[in-house]
Amino acid sequence: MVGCRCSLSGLTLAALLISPLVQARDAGQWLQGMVDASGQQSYSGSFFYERSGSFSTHHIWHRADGDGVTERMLRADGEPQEWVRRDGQIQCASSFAAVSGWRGEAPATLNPAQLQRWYALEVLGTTRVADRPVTVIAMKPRDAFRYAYELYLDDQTGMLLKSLLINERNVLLERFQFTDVQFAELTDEQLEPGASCLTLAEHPLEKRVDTSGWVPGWIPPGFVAGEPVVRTLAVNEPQVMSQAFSDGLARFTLFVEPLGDGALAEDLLAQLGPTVAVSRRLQVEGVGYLATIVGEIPPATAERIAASFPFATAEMAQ
Amino acid sequence: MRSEVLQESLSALMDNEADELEVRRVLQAAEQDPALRSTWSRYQVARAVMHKEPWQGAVDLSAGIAAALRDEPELQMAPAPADVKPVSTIWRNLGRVAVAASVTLAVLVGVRMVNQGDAPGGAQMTAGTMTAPSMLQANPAARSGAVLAGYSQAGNAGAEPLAPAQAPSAWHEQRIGRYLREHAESSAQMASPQLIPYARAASMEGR
Repeated sequence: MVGCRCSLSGLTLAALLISPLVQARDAGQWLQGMVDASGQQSYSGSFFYERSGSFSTHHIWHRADGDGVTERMLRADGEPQEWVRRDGQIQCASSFAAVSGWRGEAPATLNPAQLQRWYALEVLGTTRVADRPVTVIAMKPRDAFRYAYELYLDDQTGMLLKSLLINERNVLLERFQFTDVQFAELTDEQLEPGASCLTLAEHPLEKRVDTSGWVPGWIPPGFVAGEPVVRTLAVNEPQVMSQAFSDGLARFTLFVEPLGDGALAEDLLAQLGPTVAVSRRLQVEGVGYLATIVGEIPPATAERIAASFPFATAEMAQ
Repeated sequence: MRSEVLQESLSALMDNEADELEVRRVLQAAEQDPALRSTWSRYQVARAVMHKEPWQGAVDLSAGIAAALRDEPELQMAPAPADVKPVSTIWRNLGRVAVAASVTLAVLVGVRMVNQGDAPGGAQMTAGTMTAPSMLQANPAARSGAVLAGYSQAGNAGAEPLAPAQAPSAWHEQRIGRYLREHAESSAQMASPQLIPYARAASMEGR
């Protein structure tokens, strides 16, 4: 804050001077502020998440200090579910499907300068979220291959307090929103998980293989591929190749697995809130495979990626 | 409308065995009858407990189902019971399946399956055909509420049909579920400034 020994009229003057300064921050600076806030602010609060078919409420305790960022998340409704993350890595979880702990190393660093190549950033205005003044940033895609976002950033700290994901037909797909937040240092007890939070087992090293045969012929511009790995997703299941792609904000994962006996599959498109899944059968040297693209991208984008595989079965080959 | 008949229709609706006529009958009656609405609500809670579905008893489904049915063509009523031919039973059954499937997929699971032929735009969609999305400023509350209830898509069925037509195999359904969670959970492990990937993953737990 501006430090000044001011009279009443001085305060008014200060307010007049500050507000143009606040507005002068462009959308890119707001975005950078959001990235910085995560590593600098300690806070606790409550938020909800809503998408088609699901509405859930959560508590979070977030501590940023010299040791990095430690977060404890507790789902407040339904069966108690708890995660503790340190610098993004899961330390313990009360329910977690992934046996591999695979992180899909696609670049996830949110880089405002790079993002502006694929999204047009704009300051839409100001409003209030969780009883705090916020500034609304629009991220509109410059092409048809990704969704639009509205980010509501805390004026004081830059923290993301609300986010909307909007599709190409202007339909809201997902809403994330804090209902209250307190900025204060946290004690160790507050970050201590309950007994139901189970430490993740060590996982064997992921096998890196030559997956050049499974590279789609087309991916949307700006998306960068992570390392492809082959592993089983669960005990007693066949191996699956998976590879993550990201444009710095949106993300999708490619899964390819052989179609064995009893593995019946058709070409398919499924939508779960903001996430789409598109399956295509592939044929390589007489062996059937199922390639599935899963991510927060428009169905048409996922379809186009799926259609670009060199080994698509005849009926889908056009 | 006699209440026994309504109760029967309501039971059929809850068992996903109601045909369109029955669905309309219940909706119409529920509009005027708070007691019936509360019965419906109790049935939903009971079913949720039986099926262990995470269920929000406070959500009133009737508006959403009415919206899904509103744009469908009016039912062709048989002139008189005596004239009902055997073939009409088949059509009744088809309607029954279609209504039940759209309701369960959209509400209970949250996954919408789309027939490949009906996918909007398809792979031909290019940057040129796209109109830049303008932000939701006009009336976000009304719009989002409808969408997230899972029904607005059914409302403009011409644009993007909700196609329960060909159910995927059990194996494929299991794989899609696994992939969705795997994708969400790996996304949630990135050192991201956002909590949204975590929230997405958490919203898939317990399914």
